[in-house]
Amino acid sequence: MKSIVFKVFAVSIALGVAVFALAGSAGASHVTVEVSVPDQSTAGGTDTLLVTLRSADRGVPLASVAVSLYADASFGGVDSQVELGQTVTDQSGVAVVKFHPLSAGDHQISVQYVSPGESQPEVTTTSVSLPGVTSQLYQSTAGVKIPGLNVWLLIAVVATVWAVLLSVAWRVIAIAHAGAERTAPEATHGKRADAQTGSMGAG
Amino acid sequence: MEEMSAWRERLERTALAPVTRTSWAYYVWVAFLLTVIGWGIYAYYRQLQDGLIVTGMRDRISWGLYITTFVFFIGISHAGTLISAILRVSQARWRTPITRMAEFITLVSLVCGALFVIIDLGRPDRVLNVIRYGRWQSPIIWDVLAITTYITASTAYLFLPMIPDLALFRDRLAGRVSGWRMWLYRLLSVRWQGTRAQWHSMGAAITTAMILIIPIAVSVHTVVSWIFAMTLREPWNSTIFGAFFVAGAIFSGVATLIVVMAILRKVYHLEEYITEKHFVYLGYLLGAFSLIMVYGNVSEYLTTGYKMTEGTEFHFRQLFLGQFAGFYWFYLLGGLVLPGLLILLPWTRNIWGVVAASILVVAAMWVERYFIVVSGFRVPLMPYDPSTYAPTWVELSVMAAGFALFALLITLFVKIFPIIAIWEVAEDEESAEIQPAARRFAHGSAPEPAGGVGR
Amino acid sequence: MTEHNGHQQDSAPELPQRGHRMGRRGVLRLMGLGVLGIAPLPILSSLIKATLDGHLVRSDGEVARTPDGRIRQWTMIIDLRHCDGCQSVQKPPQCTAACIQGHFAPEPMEWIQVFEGDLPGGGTQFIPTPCQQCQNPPCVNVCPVAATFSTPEGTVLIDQDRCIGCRICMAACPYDRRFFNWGTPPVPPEALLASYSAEHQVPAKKGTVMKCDFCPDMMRADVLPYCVQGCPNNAIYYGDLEEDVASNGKEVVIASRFLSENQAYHLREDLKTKPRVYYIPGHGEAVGRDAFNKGRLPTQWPWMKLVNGARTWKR
Repeated sequence: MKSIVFKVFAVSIALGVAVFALAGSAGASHVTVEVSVPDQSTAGGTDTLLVTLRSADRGVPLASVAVSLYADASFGGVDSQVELGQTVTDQSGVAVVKFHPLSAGDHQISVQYVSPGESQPEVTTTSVSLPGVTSQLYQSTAGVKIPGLNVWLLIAVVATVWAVLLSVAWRVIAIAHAGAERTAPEATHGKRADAQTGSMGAG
Repeated sequence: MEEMSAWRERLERTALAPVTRTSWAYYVWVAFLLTVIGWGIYAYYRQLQDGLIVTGMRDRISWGLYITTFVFFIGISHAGTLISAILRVSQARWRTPITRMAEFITLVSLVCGALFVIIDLGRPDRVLNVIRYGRWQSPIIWDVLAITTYITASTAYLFLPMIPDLALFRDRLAGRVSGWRMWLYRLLSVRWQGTRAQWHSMGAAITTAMILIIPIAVSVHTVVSWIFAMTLREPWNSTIFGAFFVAGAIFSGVATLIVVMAILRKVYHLEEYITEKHFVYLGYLLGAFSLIMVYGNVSEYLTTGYKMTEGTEFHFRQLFLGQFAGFYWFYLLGGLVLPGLLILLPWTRNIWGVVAASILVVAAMWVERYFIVVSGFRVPLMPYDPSTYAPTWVELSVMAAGFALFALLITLFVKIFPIIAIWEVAEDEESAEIQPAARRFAHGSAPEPAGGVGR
Repeated sequence: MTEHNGHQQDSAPELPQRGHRMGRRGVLRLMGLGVLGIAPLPILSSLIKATLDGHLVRSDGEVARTPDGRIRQWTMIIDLRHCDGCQSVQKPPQCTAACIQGHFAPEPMEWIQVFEGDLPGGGTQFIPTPCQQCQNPPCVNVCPVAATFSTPEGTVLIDQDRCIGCRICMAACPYDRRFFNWGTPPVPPEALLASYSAEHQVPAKKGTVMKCDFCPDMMRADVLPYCVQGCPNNAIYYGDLEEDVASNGKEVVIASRFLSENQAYHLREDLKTKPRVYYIPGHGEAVGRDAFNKGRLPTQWPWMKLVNGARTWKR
């Protein structure tokens, strides 16, 4: 009689543990997931998150587990989850995921992984505070900057040409001045002398 | 000396004749030109009312006759530069009787060309935006800068050597022409008396202008070609456009000069000064440039055709075999090869042959601008059927008015200004007689003055 | 010799002018300067001013920013696996229809136009083509008056109040994405309620150029553009490269990941115009289209029927 009760008790406890175990698998089951933000998290225009997977019972790091990270995103009035990145945990159970920086503040980060021995992926969601980024990340590049080759060169060329044209205009004024100020005898004498030599002149 | 003064007398009389006497044929001609221009103004008025929809241009082929004619006119503006400046720099004596016409063709064609750009605008009421908001990086602004610089420089270059002749007009025409013309001659001859100082000033100014105007002229048609060559359209995406267009400009400019020269020579009896020699020498230039143009064509089409990249195959089919075949082969054979032959063969190397060659060249060069513009647009950029372009009566009327304006301005010029550089021709003749080896532009020696020559 | 005579002949007419000598000199000076002719000096002064003034040409409205203040960089990703030219819904392409309706684009303008391109082997694919919003835009490079300009968000807009209608931008665009108002475009009644801005080109103006503007006014309000909303297969994604997200109205994706994992490409990549519009290769297979099922219905402009005497033209 006592053995039967004991057996029933043991089975129920086993069942209870199994129920607890099954119930807990919606959360972390036998794996603990820790998402941490390293110090230099937003260096070089990417956010970095460290995802550490350990076995729940003894804290043994779980290596070579494929891990995907998701976040909630909203754009153009549409909300949905987006995949940030995926990688595999290393020997110490740490997966380093780099992705495009999210805005500053708390984000619901979901980690999806397949525990060793399981066939279905499991998801854990934690809230992570990210520092965000303040400076512009995207730089549009077009063109090559060659020092000295800019519009000032064009301005200089155009200005030079117009300065020379101005000097030509000045000559016209000089002609008019010469016509007003010359005296008759000097010019007449000069002309007679030149006529005799028959020399040709500027043209 | 006696024959010299009789010859001189005849020269001056011939040069003064157009200004003092006007025949009825002249009035008929001017009336005809004004009619054509008037009709063109009406056509443009319709375009202002309804928009450019009255033309044949549409989204796919968005430039047509107007831009063709603009490029054509800017092209023939190189007549003056080549003849006057380059020949003056190289001290070629035979240029003297034709420099004035050449310089004037330059100025008139630049004005007509600039008009056509404005006519082509969708919003001509906003043309001042080009001045208020102009961007250095735009080929159109380069165009504006180059053309205004060239208009200024060629005005100076037309005006400076004309001063002694204007002084001659001032002195010889007193009482024989109307008051406003006398006022104009007195003003524009800037108190020319033919003094040593004045000759020196004018000589220095002309030397500066003639050296400066050559790079200006080269830059003008180069930047006009860059309106096409700075785009990514296959037939225009060529590095040789600048050089090719400048060669084409000089080519069409020389041809236009020959045609205008032949007409003015006939009408105003300039046979003694503009002889067969001038036609033959200009013909040599025409022939040389036709070879350069053939070379340009071969360069362009052989290099692109060898590779047959995207768009080239379509373009070759439309240009050599399809829509534009008639235009292209007329241009190549009728406008380049045939004129070259007419110059090359001794029995056509005379006034008639050269003038015939020039008429062919002028027509062919307009046709070349046309198919460059329209066929360039017609190559499809995305998967759609190619469009067609057909000019409408508005475009044809306005274009005709543009040509009529060109002819009218020359016609009016002849009535007011000396069409021959009298002092240069006289000087050339005298130096040939007295001292064939006399050095020109000798400093310190006053020349035979043209101003104040009273006989 | 002759000069002396000439002087003597001249001295008589010169005497009466003695009194006007000062005025004559003034005129001569003016004339000397007037040799400058049709001077580009007015251009030079404002061009120099523009060079010294280092601002961007013009921004329209407020710059769109991410929640943490960075400037948005608009982009569009068109997933051709989901585009079948609207064959499955048996209508003319709905992206085009929505854009025409939302902007009252005059006929025959299709600011986003669905071309049917040939595939190797003989099939076809549909390629909805909006303005590519290039980062090295040939149109902006050539415009003489900066009527078309790049914005800080990387888009290219046109100010129809400044455009002079020279159409060099249309010659320069290698994607056939610019349209000209050849005649007087019909004005929709709704235009009376909205004021014109370069971000919402209503009403159209005669003699100026128009094109797709990436609907910046809508995106500032976090509303996806007309073409994105209009697509029945959600093939068009609109996004921000700065925040690295994109959405087609149903889901949100990380833009860089979406592009890389699906081998996205540009139209005419070799031209290096650096467009902001990406394409994911396909021919509508994800919505069941067979590549050899050719043809799409022609575009219509239903709003034009509501305007009396609307005049149209061919492209």
